[in-house]
Amino acid sequence: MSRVVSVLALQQAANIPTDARPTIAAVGLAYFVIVAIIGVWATRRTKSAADFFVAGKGIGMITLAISAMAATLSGFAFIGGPGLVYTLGLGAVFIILSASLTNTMGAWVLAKRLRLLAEVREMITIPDAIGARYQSPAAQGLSAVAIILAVVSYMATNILALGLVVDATFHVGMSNAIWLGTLVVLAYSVSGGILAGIYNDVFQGALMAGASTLVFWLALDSAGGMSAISRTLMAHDPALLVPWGKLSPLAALSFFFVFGLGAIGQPHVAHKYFMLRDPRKLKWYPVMMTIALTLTLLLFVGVGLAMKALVLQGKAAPLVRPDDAMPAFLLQFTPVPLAALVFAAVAAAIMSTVNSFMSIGAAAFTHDLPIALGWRVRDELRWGRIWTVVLTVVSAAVAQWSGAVVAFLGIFGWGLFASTLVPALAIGLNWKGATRAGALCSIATGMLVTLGLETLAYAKVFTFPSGVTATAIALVSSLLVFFAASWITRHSAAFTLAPDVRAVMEA
Amino acid sequence: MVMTVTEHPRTTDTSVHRRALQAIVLGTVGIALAYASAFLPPPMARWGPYVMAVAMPLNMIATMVLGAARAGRSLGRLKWPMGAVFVLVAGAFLLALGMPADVADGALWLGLPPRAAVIVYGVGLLPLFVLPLAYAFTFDAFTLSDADVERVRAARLSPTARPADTQ
Repeated sequence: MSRVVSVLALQQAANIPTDARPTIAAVGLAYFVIVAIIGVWATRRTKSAADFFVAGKGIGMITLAISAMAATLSGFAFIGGPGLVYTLGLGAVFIILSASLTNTMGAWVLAKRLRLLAEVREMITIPDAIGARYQSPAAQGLSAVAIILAVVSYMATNILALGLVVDATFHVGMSNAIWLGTLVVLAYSVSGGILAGIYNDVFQGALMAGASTLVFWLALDSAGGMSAISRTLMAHDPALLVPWGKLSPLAALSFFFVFGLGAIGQPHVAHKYFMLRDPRKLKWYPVMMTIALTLTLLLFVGVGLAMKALVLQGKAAPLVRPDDAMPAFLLQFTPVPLAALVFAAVAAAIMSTVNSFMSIGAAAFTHDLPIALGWRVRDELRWGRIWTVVLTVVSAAVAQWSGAVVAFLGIFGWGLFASTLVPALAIGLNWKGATRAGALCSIATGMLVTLGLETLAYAKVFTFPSGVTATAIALVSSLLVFFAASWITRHSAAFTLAPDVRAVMEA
Repeated sequence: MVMTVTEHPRTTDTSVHRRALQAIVLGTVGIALAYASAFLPPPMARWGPYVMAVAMPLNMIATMVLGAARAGRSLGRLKWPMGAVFVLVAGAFLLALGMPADVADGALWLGLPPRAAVIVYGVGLLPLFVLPLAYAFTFDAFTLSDADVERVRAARLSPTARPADTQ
């Protein structure tokens, strides 16, 4: 929930001092011009569906790492995250703590297998990999349906956040801002596809990492260093520095589980593994990804704690809302050009995520669902562009007119991806005993449990005890169902595996 | 008799895979039990976080092992960084759960109260230096060699490679 609602804090930017507005607007404009130039460059190189959906399988390792990082982090890392740390203390850090494991886990479990699958089959989408693994168009179609549901939800929340950033930067009104921001992402995504997205990701990722590192250093410096921050918090609000912050231990550990294991089920990141030029270049991928992600997440931890200490030290006014932590810090403690750069970085984080969702959502409609239904789309490039527009317009409309429902939609995006894809994809590509029935049952379980429990919880039919979430229950359920159904149908495991896929799994 | 020592001692079965799977299932059941404990009255629910603290890293590290293990081969020297990270993460969680509460004017460890430092540095920071480097330095021998890539490409070219292609 906080992932979505907290981004509304960007409305704080409406309080940007008048003399700072021209600088922030100028930096924002420069950012959009660079994005447009990269989009035009990529458009000239997009000639086929393979270029449009998988960047012609021609990107390098550094590009892959920075692009995957940029797609992983949305605006939440810059606004909602520091706000949560400000409120909950270290408990909120458990959301990102598992990054110490997940990058390398993703490389071992998914990157190699997916990239090698692209050596033996024409891989365009993650459901392609599921279809190939289980020789099952039904599994491919079902995973595509899960991806479409999650993509629309995720995109709606991110487009709303993008509208807030654009409005804060250019003061054009919320409604205009939503469509203006959407049009910019749509323009480069429709014309240049994922190729434009990937190279924009590199620019946007570098901007995010650079801005985050600078702001982190300034945050610690403004509050007198880490020790001074700790002393202040321990004296006034010691619960913030309990390892679990103001959460229960189970709730904090649950964050670690859901965001840790769930990370390897995020298709907009895993999809990028297909694009690597040479599978042997994966060697240094976890190192690069870890450096990029760690630098970008410094801000998540630092600003929330520093801002709380600054308020308690009397150097800053108490915040109206916790999510104001980041904008308030920027406006009070950093030079205006850096604040402007961070606003551009927030837009960058959102746009890179939206572009990735556009690509996997359009591919699900253009490629996976027709395969599941036994159809063949003749011109995938053309239809890919059409579905990109349709999906984006629908998501933007949902963002504009759904009101509070948009927050609800955003809740289950991550959970739906995790519970439907971790067992069938991540475990299934590494376990020859996994069966088609196991994959179908686990994907269906993930969808039903996530949608069912989130809907009931949203309707306040019941409340979970502290530490238990629908996402966590869905992930555990789909894993257990996957193992149980595969075990029951284990006699069919040998028939589920094609020889070339077996070669990939044994490599 | 000549004894040959290789990087990939062959085993007669896929025991590493099997054990990793067993650990993943065990870890998942542990996580489910930890969540189930939250539905019990508070005094009876205290064991939940302790189970979670062990089951969760078990599940995640075992998933890593499943991905890293090669058919018919032992885990080789990869077992050391993976084992160390499991001990580190599970140990840090258990330590944080068991340590006494911090006091306001107590010592700080690298700028944080001891229990917080155990989590932030033990779970969030140290594995960053272990796992990515272990992956890179064992990549050629354990993860993917040129010969592996060629074998996979050959599987594509083989006329028997895709007898039941669904697409």
